[in-house]
Amino acid sequence: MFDASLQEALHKATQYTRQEKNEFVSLEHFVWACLSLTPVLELFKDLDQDAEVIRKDLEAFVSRMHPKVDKLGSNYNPEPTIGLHRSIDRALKQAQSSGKQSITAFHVLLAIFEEEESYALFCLEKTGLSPLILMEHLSSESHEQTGDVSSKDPLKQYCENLNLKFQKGEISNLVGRQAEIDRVLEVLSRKNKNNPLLVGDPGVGKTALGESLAELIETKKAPDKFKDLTVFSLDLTALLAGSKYRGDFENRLKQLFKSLKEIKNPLLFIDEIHLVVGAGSTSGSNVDFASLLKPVLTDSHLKVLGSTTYSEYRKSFAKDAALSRRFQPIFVEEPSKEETLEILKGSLESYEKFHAVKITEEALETAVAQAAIHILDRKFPDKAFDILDETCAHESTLKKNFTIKKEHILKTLSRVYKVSEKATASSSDQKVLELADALSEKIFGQDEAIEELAANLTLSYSGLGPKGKPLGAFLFTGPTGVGKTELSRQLALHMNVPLVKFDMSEYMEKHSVSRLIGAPPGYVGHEEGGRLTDEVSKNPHCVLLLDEIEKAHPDVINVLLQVMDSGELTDSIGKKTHFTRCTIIMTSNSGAREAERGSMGFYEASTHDFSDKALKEFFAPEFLNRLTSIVKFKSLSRPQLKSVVEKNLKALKEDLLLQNTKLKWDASLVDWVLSAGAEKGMGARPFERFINKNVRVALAKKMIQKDPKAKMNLSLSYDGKKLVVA
Amino acid sequence: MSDSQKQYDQSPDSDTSVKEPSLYSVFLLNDDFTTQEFVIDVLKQLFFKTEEESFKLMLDVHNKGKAQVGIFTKEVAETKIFLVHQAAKENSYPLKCVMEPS
Repeated sequence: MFDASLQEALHKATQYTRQEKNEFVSLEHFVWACLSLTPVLELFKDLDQDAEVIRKDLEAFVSRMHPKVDKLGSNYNPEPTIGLHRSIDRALKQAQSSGKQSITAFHVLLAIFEEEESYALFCLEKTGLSPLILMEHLSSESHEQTGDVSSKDPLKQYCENLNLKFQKGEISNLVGRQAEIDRVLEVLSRKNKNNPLLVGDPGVGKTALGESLAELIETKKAPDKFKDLTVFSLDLTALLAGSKYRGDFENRLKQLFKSLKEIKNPLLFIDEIHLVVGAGSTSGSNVDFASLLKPVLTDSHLKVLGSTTYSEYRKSFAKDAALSRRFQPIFVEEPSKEETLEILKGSLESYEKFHAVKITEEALETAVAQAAIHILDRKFPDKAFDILDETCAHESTLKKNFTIKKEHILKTLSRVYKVSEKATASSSDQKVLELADALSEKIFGQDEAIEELAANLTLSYSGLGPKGKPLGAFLFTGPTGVGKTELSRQLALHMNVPLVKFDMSEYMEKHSVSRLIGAPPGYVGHEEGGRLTDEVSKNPHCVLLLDEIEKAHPDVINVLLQVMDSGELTDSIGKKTHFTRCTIIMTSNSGAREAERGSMGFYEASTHDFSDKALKEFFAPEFLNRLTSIVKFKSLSRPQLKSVVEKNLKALKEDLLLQNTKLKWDASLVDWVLSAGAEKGMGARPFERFINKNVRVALAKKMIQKDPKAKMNLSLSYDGKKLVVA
Repeated sequence: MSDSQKQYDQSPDSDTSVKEPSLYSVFLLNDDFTTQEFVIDVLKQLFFKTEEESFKLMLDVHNKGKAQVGIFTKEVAETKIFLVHQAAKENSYPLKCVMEPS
């Protein structure tokens, strides 16, 4: 088939023929048309031939030698000559035999070389064009599917003209940042090393700052010196992509710098400039982009503006001393909440237009305020934009012309950033107020502990508690089986946050610290990160339960000191994890045995002293000192144990209901479990075991015999010797 | 000196030198079967002659055996001859048309 270039050539040739009132579309007409095609013109440029001269020559020939036929009228369709037909046929056959699907104008031009005694061929030969050159061109083209790269404008290929981008309205206006802009302009005005380098955390707006230079120039706000500056943004990927052969990359760069030199006042903006270190270097050579860039940087004509993050700056950029000394770093700080709000307002219109929504001012304020509280590992204004964009995206997919309000922002927080909706409510938190009542329904006999926990949490949730610390760091002490772990579980359930549990008996060795915060560099597993930091950064709002803390190695406990004190933990790769929305609960049995022993002799109320003493022996004072509170759990008395037994039986009843079976029991059963199942100093846990072993197993036999669909009523009692199931 | 040596002795320039191609004259040839009307039609339709010119050329073909009907580039001459032969074949006439360098 014919490709676009050939079709265009034939079309133009036909038009030309009609215009000249010639009878046939001859080879001359066709060659004339080919000489207007860009790829053909490029080939002639390489041959140092002026295509325009040849065209004029052909035009003269056509008007001299091809008779004008007035009779044909103006709308006839001129036929190609036999010669042109033959040439196209030959080109098609040649392409077919070499397995090509389509032919280009070049193929036909090549075929014309066999049309002897035609003026078209005469003209082509005059330019020095030979079949060999055409064949070489065609085969080089098939090597390089993308087309002849070398002859295109490198500025268009590898750069984007930001001035034009601004004129098209694709750059959003910059708000604020006056100090940094002034500084950039100052550095640009220097005689030598006029290359500013924007350094700042990800998301603070470095790219926006670079792009805004174009805005400054286009809106005529730039100083006179820079009013004709053209800002080009370098596309490093385009520069690297497809540079297959040794020297391709260097060649492209050279061309790029050459074209930049021809421009009056160019500024090259290289985003993520740390990538130039090592870019384009191959295993065999150390010549990378950076080393090619160095000579250009000293040139006062071409200015280069770079942008990179702190960590990348340190990691790769600053190491190349020769490169970094040619740049003047300008540190871009994170904007304050107020500045962010201004920036958000500045971009409001583009977001409203894009998502076809309306955004209230209150929504903007909420987005900024909530981002400040809940998204701690990212920077303004990026994180505020993120919340806003997410909200708009979510709501606009559901309805059109929607108005984004405060509550939609809050919804996004819980949906995308896993911040529980309750945690975002700024007014007094109802859930915390209900905490004590709700927990005492589930946990028996620990009213004091629950009261203490609830009081401390109320303080934290109200915002009156200490800043920059976890919501609470509690040490639950008490004998086993009294509900320490259960209380943590119920707390998480009630507050609607995940429970992250770590069994500290797994962290008994000194080296297990690295499991929590990640292995140090050079050790196996360094890349994996730490379990504790990973879990908490995944669920920043959680109840963090460290079970049996006294079993952990003291070094592990030392790590926790920092968490309790400053609410953050730095893992082995330097990433900070924030614990400020965490409730940390540690449980311990230490001191329980002493307390359990009870008082020998006369005083009753001294159990606390015993356990306090044991705690002090076990934990370092700096640890105890940092706890919000030590919550002591008491051993359970008989009526409380009875409640636990009934709770367990109720759980059994619910299990059976799923199998169409109703269960009843009388007081004799409860008494039996209480007396036979109890183990001294073991709390409530033995009852569950006892019920499992004696009652569940007996019921299990019944359940297997029974038809799964049939309904059944069972009652349990104890006749003084054994369990009766009826 | 052998023939092959002679070829080498020729300068490469003379080999590749280009000269402007010449033009060709197209002739119609007489035969005993083609009607005069058809020849006039061909002259009018394909060579864009007027009625009088056509008549005169037809007589030339008839009396002198052949007549020059036009001068064209080789390519156009070739196409014209093809069209004449095509038309003659369609109408079952043995009319012949040739070209010669002029």
